Amino acid sequence: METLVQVLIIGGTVGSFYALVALGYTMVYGIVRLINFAHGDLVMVASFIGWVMLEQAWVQAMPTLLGILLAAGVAIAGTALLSLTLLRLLYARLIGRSTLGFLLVTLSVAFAMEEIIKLIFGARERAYPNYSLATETITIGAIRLAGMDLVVIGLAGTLMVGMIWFAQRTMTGAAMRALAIDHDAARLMGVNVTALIAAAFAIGAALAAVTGVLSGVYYGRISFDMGFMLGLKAFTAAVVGGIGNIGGAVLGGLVIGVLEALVQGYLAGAWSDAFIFGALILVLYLRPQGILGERVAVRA
Amino acid sequence: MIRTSDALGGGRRAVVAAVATLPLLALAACQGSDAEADGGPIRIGVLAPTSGSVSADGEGMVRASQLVVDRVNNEGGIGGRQVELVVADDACEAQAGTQAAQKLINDKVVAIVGGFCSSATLPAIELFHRNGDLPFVVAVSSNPKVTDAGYPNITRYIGRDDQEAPVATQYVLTQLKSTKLAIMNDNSEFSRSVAENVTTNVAAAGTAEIVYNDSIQPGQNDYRAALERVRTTGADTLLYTGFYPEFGILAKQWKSLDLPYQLVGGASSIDLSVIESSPEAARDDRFSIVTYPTASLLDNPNATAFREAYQKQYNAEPAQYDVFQYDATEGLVAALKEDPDDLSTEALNERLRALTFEGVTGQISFDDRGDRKAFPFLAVRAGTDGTFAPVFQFAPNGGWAAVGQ
Repeated sequence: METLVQVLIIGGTVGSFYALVALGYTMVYGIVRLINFAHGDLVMVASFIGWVMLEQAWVQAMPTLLGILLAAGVAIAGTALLSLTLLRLLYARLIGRSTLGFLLVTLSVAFAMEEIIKLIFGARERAYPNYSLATETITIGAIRLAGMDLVVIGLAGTLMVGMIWFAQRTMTGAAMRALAIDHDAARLMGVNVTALIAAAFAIGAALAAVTGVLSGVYYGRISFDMGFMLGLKAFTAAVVGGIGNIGGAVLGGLVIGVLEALVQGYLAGAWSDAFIFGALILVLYLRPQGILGERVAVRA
Repeated sequence: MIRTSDALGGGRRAVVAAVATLPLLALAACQGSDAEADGGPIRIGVLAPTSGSVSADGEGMVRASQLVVDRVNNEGGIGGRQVELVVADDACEAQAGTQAAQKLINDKVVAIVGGFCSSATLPAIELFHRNGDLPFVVAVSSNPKVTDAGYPNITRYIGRDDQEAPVATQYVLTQLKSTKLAIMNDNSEFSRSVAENVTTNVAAAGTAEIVYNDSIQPGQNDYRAALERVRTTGADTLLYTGFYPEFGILAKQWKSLDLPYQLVGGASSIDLSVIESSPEAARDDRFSIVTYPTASLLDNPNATAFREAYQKQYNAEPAQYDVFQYDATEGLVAALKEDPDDLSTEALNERLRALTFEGVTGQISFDDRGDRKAFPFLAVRAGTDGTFAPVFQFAPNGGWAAVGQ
């Protein structure tokens, strides 16, 4: 029983990371109906920006938490800026014109980012500083938790609630939802389409940055190739949950994380990827729109 | 991700290589077999994974070879001719390995030194064998099949996988006194074969029971669920036969969960990044790694000289397996120097096999398969200075013993 609880919490942590990345896919998809395959690698770029910051002597002289927050802030700003630059230079002219072109360009950007980071930092893995708060453990009965598990799960939950609030209760959110339904109608109602698309990319990038720095602080290791598989699993999570749906992205992330932990903890570890992508196939077979997704009407 | 990007990268390379080799093949057919243009540089091929998941090791191998070649060229070359490296990227994959080998053959190298991933080395060996037994000095690929084919053109500078498993088993059973052993692999061909081999050896010894034997999926960040499962089996020792990126994560999470069993890494688990990511785990006296004597662990004058030269030239520490590539390149250069006027493949192959010298990795000489005659192992953990230090050593004739006793 204790093991099950522990495995579920581990799965929740892993799932929260997927969920944070999945939210980025969903944001962008919700508005432009396109998948940004470079999204996973934004996580990687952010974790390297965070690492560079945390290696600075003047940052290390700061109180730990302040230093991490500063590094996360710089990573968020840097990643958002990168994402907006890519949007302006490469993606914008493809949105609404070429779905396949967009897909291929984002894939190419993903590989380009990996190679560039590899050229700058080398192929070796890099280690974040060892923080005592990352190894802090809480013992309840026979269950041993890392304090960071609660931070990660809590943060993912908070961000999800924040995003739902943003989408449902703010003018910008309402405009985004309108845009998701019909670009042209939204434009005729005076919605600034370009600005909203930029906002969706920036928010997605910010979430990726939070994930990247958090993952570095918690797991301690980053490498140029950490983003792609993470991105692919988070994309799976977004689709399983119902892409375009904020709650669905989080649910999908948690489902995949918990599934991964359960397979590792009770079945055979080698099968975890097979189970995850098997789950994707099963969900899509039973519910093509994903668990929480709504059936999308064919638009003229 | 590693796999996906490699697959895509491999595909891209496949097209380019296929297009690029067509005219070369035609050219090669016209030119006949005379590989040495007189007076021009002697070209040595380096087969190493300079892209993909282990590209850090591949880059290190190229550097190690370059170090030797630069020195030889500064000293006036071989028989008055300069030496030139031709690097081919095998990407740690069978398909890319075949293409890289073909590139080296097309480039008319006199011999090849390198080979990291056995999956890429094995098809390359077949190709070199079919092309007139082109000499291949294998540095790091430890799969038994490398030498088991019995080709005359192979000499190998690292130990064999089937040496690692019995030595690791003996270590776990006699020095760590394990009676309930858990074995974990990373689902790669290599790691699985070591794990299977350990299983057989443990069964043969009969003093311990295997309570867990499973794989993890590489490339994930969190293996705590698997580590928890090992705890529930009541294991007293966990032996991991996979590679260091995952072992670093396992070590860190093993320490943070404060698990009641000992953690042992196999020969592919050693890398300074393991200490960097989790110094507390690597210093724990229930933690150790069974390893070949790699770059940072060797304590002899040759090794010190190598580390200093490497540091001076590249302003970096050598990667763990660079020492084998360095020795392999030294061996090849020695064989070339013996008679610079006769660089035919038959003569070179014979001279490579007959070499005996004191290298960075110890006494080097070869049996009739091309394997090193005696190959030592160490068990290490992090010392106070933040690097690995031997705690037990294995001598081929004396078995395991604690260091300094």
